[in-house]
Amino acid sequence: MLFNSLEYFLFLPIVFALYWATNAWRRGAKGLKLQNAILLLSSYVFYGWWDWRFLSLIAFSTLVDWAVGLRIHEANQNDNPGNPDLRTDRAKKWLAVSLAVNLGLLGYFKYANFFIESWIDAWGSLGVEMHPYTLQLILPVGISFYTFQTLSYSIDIYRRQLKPTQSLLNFAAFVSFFPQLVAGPIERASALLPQIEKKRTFHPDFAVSGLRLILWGMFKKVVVADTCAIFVNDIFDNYQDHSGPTLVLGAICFAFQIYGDFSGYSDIAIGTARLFGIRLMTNFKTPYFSRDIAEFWRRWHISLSTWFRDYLYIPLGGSRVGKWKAVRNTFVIFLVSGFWHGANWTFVLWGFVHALLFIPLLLAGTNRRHMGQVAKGRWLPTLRDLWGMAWTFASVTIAWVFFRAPDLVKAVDYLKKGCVGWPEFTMVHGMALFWISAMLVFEWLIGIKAFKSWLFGRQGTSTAVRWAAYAMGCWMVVKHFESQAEFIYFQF
Amino acid sequence: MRRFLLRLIKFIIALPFLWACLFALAIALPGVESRFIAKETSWGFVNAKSQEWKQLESDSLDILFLGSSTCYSGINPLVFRELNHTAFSLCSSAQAIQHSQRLAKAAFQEVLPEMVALDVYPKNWPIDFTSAEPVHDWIVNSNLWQFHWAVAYVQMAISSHSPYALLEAFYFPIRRLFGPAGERAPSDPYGEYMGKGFVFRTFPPLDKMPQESPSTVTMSSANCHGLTELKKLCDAHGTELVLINPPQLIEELFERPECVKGLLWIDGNDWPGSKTPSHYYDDHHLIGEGGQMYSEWLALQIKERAKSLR
Repeated sequence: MLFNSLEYFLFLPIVFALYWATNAWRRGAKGLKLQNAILLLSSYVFYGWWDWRFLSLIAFSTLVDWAVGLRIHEANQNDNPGNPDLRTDRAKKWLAVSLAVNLGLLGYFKYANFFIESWIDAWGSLGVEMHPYTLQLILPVGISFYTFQTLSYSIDIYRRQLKPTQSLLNFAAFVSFFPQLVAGPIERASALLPQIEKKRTFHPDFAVSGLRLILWGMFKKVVVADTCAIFVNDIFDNYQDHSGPTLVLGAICFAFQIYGDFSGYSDIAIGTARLFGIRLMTNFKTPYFSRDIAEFWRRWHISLSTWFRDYLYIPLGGSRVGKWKAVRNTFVIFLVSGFWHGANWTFVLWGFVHALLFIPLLLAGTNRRHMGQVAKGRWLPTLRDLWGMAWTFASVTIAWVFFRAPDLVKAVDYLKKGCVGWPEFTMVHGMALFWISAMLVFEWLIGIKAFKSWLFGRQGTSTAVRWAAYAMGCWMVVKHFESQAEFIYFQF
Repeated sequence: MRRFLLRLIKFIIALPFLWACLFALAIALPGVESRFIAKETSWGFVNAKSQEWKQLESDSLDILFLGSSTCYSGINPLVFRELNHTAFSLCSSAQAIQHSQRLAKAAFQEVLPEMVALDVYPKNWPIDFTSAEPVHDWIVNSNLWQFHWAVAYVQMAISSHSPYALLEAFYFPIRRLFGPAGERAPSDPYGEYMGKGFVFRTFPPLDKMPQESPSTVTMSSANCHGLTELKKLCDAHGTELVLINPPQLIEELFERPECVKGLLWIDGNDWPGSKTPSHYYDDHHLIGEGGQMYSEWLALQIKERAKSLR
């Protein structure tokens, strides 16, 4: 089921009503069980709406990780009670089971064809013709997200950072929690599971903030991203026919399309979770206002970058090793991150470009220079900030061309053609630029504390402005609703 | 929970008033209307044809044409004048069979034609729920806003799963009633309205056959249902229903579905000029001159084969 579909707008109020009705109907442990059962059932309905057959994959992954989690914990407890820091062989073996199952499923469904095709291409380049046999596989929606979520559960238990849950129902509700099931945020068990295990109570202000996020997310997706998509698809599909400035504009629009699409999804997910009394982590913090690439990665797809940081980068030694090892680790994390996005060399190169942009900061030791918000306490950025933001945005946009192009040759060709034919525009989409500007202005203003506290305060004028903005937002969402375009990150 | 629901209900009640403010602004300022509500368009000339329909003097008509863009750019109803028949085309872009059926229902309240000629472009057949494009086209550009037309538009909006078209259906009648007079639609650079619903397309003609392979199509159950309903409507009024497959450079492959059987079928691909690229501006849309030639051939076919015009 898509967030931007009529079905979802029927589904959500029904689940909301049932979920909170149990709060009044049953108190205590039974009420909690019922709430979680409703969450689990609704999540399975939500997911099964696409293809019910893939529910078996989630169910299988859930069962394996729940059982493995218990076994790892048991091994940690019993085998070395005297030395809590020592991981036993039994715990290691059970962790290996979890890794094999989760990465095996991900590898099979997402990467099998890629490896077969790359193998055939490699032999083909040596003049050896091979029979092009590929598997007829459909990528189960959200598999990259929920496998990472379950993996973190097993690893955290192995590291003794988390106690496993005894309840299969609670664990299944955690894995399949529908708002973030198919495209994140990739929530850690240590953050989400305790909320699932505790009975939720309704807080009106929290729920209102959830509705606000849903509206803003919808706006970003259906108004900004889907409007940009029309322009972007046309330009990327026919890039040979357009002048350099138009191609540059197309790449800029794609930068905002993917931001509107993915951060819009995250906002809707976080907002929906709040309606159910559950807090999910922030996934985007105005990344295009970043002053360098390191800051960008602290603000873009935060749940994935912190996942890689905690489960890959730090175990490799992170940056607290020699310089060359730190460089190697940076390359590893960016290449793996690129590969996580999809089985295509374009994604790997996208990761590689980001690594190249990041490494000078790492070597100069300036990768943690911009930790706070840009222009904090001020209405406008300094010229230095502005230059940093422009430079970072330009670099990120060039890298997005690799992400969007169907193959490497076309990506390079697109970038080459982007340098010629100036200053003539062969195509401009005024509405896309208008909505991008509206989104940026609003995001900038909302970052200013004085404006935010005025807008969400209780004064008469701000209430009128707020309601007018909500009404306008609702109108624009309904206006653009028809496209019902899938979210880009569903394919990952 | 009560506090939350009260806030939500308050907002839901306030929403129509807030939207009414937007309507007022949009009526006064064309820029607000085109950016936030919809842009009027002359593409397909629904504005002109609906105005002309409104001014029809007689309540009888020999042929009512319905269908998509292949119909309004390919069939010139004025040609039938030479055969002493009156004809009018209420075709619009991407108009599916279900849309045509609803428009026919509204049209029958005002005029009773002897024959309904439905242009059934096969590429539109497989679609299960209909495109919202003609719904917006009629709501935004039409000058027909009597109750039966409004009902037809609302039904079209529902069948197209387009909640926004329903909102537009609130705005545009009000705008037409209270707004300043005069067209807001820019002129169509590639079309000229010739009257009776015909649009003379002025695109440059093709110089060679397009390199596309034909696709196989089957009619969706929703389209079949629309056709059956249209047939019932025609039967109830003693109107003959004729189906026209428009000429295409690359013909789709299909088997005529059950719901089509028993109806008179005229195949535009039998027209001798149907495979001449210079008559078209793409693989299935005729340019003005091509449309004129095809219409002359079609008029004779209809005259010869349809019972109601003998």
